[in-house]
Amino acid sequence: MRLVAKNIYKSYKDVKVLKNLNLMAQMGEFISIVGTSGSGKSTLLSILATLDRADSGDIFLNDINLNTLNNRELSKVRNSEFGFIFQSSNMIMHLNVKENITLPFLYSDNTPKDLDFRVSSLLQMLNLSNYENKKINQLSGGEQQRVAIARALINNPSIIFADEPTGNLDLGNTKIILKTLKALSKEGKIVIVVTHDSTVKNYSDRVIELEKL
Amino acid sequence: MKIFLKNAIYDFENAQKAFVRKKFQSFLSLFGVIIAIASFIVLISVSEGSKKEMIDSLKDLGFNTIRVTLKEFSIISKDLNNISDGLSLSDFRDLQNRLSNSFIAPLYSKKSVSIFHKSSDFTTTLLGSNEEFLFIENLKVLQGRPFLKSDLKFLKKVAIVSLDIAQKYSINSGSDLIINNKNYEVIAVASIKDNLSSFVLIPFNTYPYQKSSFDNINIFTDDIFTTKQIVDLALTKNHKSLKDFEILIPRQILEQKLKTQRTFSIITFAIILMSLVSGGISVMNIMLSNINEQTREIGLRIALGATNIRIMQQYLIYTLFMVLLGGFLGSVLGYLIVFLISFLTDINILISLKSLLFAISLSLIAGAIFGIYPAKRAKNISPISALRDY
Repeated sequence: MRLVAKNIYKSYKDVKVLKNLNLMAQMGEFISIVGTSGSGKSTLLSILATLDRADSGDIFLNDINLNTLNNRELSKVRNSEFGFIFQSSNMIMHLNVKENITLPFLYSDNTPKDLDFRVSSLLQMLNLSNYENKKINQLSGGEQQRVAIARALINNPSIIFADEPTGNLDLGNTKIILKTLKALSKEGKIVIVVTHDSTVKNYSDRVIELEKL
Repeated sequence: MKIFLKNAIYDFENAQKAFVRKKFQSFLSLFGVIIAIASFIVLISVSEGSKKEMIDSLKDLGFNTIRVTLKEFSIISKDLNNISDGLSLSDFRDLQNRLSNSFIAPLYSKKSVSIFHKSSDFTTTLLGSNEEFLFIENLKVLQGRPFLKSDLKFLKKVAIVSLDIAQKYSINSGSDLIINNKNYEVIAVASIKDNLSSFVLIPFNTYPYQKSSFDNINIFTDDIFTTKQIVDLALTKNHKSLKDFEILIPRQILEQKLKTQRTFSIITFAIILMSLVSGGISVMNIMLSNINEQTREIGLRIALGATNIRIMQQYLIYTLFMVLLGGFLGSVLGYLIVFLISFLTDINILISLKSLLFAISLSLIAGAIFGIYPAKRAKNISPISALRDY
C-alpha cells in the first residue's frame, strides 16, 4: 500500500495554504505532520483523506489517481481503505459504543459475519472489554478516543488518518493512544497524524513540518 | 435492492429514535399536518355521506322519473290559479296520449287519513293513483296482485297497503278497509321506501277526497329531457300559457346539488391543502433545525463512507416518517371526529378506506415535497467544515 501526493496546491480565497506539496507514505509508516497554526496541516490531511479536494495536484492510492474518482467512488475508498480519528472523538451521542464502532458498516456493501467478534476483540485490545452497550456519555475523554480508534479500525483499513488525536487527552491516555497507533503501523498500516503534541514525534518514523506560506 | 431496503429500514428506525429524542418539538411541528389530514378525513366522510344520501334519495325518486306538481302561488297569483284547474284529468289524458311510450300516473295524496280495519282504526297517507304508480315508484307487490286497468275502468273499490301497515294491523289480501265510510277490499301488500314508507293506495277515480287538480303527475320515461319538453308544451297549451305547474327532474336536481357540493368541496379542499402546506413547512423547519444540530454527525457519516445520496435518503426518510406519523395521527383524530359527528348529529357519514388511502398518499406527497429541501441541504454538507467548525 502506498499513498502519494504530487504537486498539491490549495488556497482558501486569496490565502495560499499548500504550495507544490509532495509526499509519499509507504506501508507500515508512522508519519506525523507538524507546523504552526494555519500552516495547512489539517488541510493536507483532509486532502489526503479525500475529504477535501486540492486546487491542483494528484493523490494516488497505489496506482489509482483519487482525483479521477467521483464522490460515490471516493466514499467507497474512504469506507474501505481509510480510518479516521479526530481531535474530539466525534462520537454520535445517541448511539452506544458498539453502534458507533460499527457505523462504517452502515455504508459498506458487506457486513462481516464475525462483526460482534471484531468489535469485542478491538475493545479488548483497547482495554475497553464489555463496553459494547455503554452510552457514550458514560465514557471518559480517553475512553471515547479509544472507541474512536476502534471505529477507525473496524473496517481493517490500510491507512489511518488522525487529526490531533491526543489534543484533548491527559498524558496517560495520550501514551495509550500513541502506542496503539504505533502498533498499528507496525502491523503494516500507514498512520498519518496531524499534531501539535511533541510526544507524537517520539513515535513517528518521519516528521513532516509545514510552514505557513 | 436488498441493501437499499436494509438502509431504508435502518433510516426508518433511526427516524423513530430521533423523533422520540425530541418528541415534544417534533410533535408540535406535526400539528399542521395532523389538523390538515383530520379535516380531510372529516370532509371526505361528510361529503361522501351527503352524496350517498342524495343518490339514495334520487334512487327513491327514480333516475328516469319526471314529477309534475302544481306551483305554490303567492296570494296575488292565487287568483290566476283559479283560472286553471291545475293538473286536471284532461291534462293526464292528454299526456297519456302524447307519451304513449312512457308510464304515467296521476296522484292524489292526503296525510293522516283515518282508516278502519275490523273494529280498530289507524291513520296513514291515502294515495289515489292508477295501475302504473307502483312501477313508476319502483315498489313491488309482495303479496296479492297489482291494480288492473279494469279496476280503474269499473271504479272498483280495491286497495293496496304498504308492508308496515300490513304487518302492524294484520292486513292481508282479502281484508276489508273502511275509508270515508266506503268499503275497500285489500288486493295487495306493497314494499316501501324512504319517501313512501306508510300508505294505502286506491284507484284515483274512487278517491274520496278528489279535487279539480291532482297533487302530482308522475312520469317514467327513457328520455327525460324530450319528455320534459313535451309535458311543458302540452301543459302550457292546456293551461292557456299559465305556468301554474312545475316540472321536477330529480336527476337534474341531484346534478345541481352535486355540482354545488363539488364547488364547496373544492374550496374546502383548497383550504385543507393550504393547511397541509403550512404543516409541511413546520416539518421542514424542524428538519432544517435537526440538520443544523446534526451537522457534525452528518460530516462524520460522510467521512466514514456515507455517499451524498445515502445522507439525502436518511433525511428524506426522516421527513417521510414525520409526515406519515402526522397522517396517521390526523386520520385517527379525523375518524374520531367523524364518529362523534355521526353519534351526536343526524348528518350522514360515509367512512371509506379510500379516504384513508388518499390521506396517507397526501401525507407522503407532502413529505416528499417538504423533505427534499432539508435532505438536499444535508447532502451538500461539507464533511471537512462540519467536523472542523462544529
